[in-house]
Amino acid sequence: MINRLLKLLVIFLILVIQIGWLGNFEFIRTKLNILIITLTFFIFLFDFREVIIWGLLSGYIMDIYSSLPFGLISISLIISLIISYGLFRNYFTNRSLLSLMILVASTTLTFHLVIMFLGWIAGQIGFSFYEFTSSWVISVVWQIGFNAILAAIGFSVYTFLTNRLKRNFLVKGNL
Amino acid sequence: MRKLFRSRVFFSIFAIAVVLLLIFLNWLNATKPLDTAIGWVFNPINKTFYSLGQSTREFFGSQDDLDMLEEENQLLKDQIDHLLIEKSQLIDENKALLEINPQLVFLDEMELNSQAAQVVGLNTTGDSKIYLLNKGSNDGIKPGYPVIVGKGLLIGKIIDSGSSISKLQLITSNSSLLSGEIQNEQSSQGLLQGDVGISLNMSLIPQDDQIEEKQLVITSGLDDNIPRGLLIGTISRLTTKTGELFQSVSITPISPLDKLNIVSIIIPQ
Repeated sequence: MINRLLKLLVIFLILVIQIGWLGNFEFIRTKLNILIITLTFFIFLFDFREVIIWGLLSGYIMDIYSSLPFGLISISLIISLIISYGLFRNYFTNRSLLSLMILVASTTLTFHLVIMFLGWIAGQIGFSFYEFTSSWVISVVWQIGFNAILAAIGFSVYTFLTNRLKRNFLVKGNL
Repeated sequence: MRKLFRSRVFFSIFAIAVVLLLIFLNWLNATKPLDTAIGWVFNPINKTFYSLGQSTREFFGSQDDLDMLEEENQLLKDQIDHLLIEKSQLIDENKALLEINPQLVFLDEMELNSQAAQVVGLNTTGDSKIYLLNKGSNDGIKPGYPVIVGKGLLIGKIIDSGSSISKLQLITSNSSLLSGEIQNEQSSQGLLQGDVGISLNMSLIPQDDQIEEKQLVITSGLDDNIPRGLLIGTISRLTTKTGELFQSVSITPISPLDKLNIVSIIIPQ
């Protein structure tokens, strides 16, 4: 129970940082998505159902505060988490820092590709809600890079503070 | 193993079905109580984090000596804004006196209802910024309502309102459209559209009208819910090309649109 409350608190904190705090910084606002980093981290630590439930909860809250049509973030988040979990189970046998960085990058890319795909479909049926400009592509590329770097930093801090990840990840001294 | 895989597939489909159901319920407005509850919990925390972010930004900014100059520059800009607003009001009042009764009646009608709102977040999609405000349909806010700062500086319109959250689209956003009026002799009217989140373009201005740089642009009152006389900006550049039937100009907004905190939403009577 305390464990779940702690996870809920982490998700809430991540959401208020993403929605309230990061919005103030022009340079980083569109280039960092700490919710994707956290949920990808969850893929490494928790079971599939738990990851999807946290994805549903955080996606719903993000949708309330998002300027995109309601549900778009939830559905993109869930699809990208399902795909990332599939990749993680089938291809990332080596649970290293590099695996985490690649998985964060692929989750970020999938998330934006799903948004773009749904935006394209909406455009085809005459309901355009998003302009996919060159600045959008640039910010996605930046976001992939920044998310991967921040995941690496988060991983290093977490392994420094606790031994828990050493059971899940391949880190020096654990081999 | 196969069984386990199947159960994961089932749970994935179930999760997507839940999202689709939530979208449907949201479309029916059935999620309103849940949205209100989330807003009730999140808005005060978001507000704190947003203010914290502003303080962080200002703290790091103040480390630089150049910011002293920037501050002074901002102060002077604010004074210019203040004078421009006064000038705009005087021009309007002057016109009202010249055009006698109908205008005076109109000024009486300018007693507007408004609702103050706090910015609780900022969302960027493409080239446009969407500010999240802590007032929603529970406070009488509806899409299309104009949002102002200071003494009648129009900054944008509400594009969506949840029960306790509303979304403000800036006038400089690409998808923002409204009708404006130049404060010249002819009171030229035209169509204003946002330009990559920085400025506005005003088009469809009659060819014979006299337009000059620094002239003020106000709302014309032709848009639903937006009263006449809200200050939008000043003409920064004439952009008419040879052979065009109408004139067009570039307009710089008077109010800085990147440091919003408290705004007022005008509620039509």
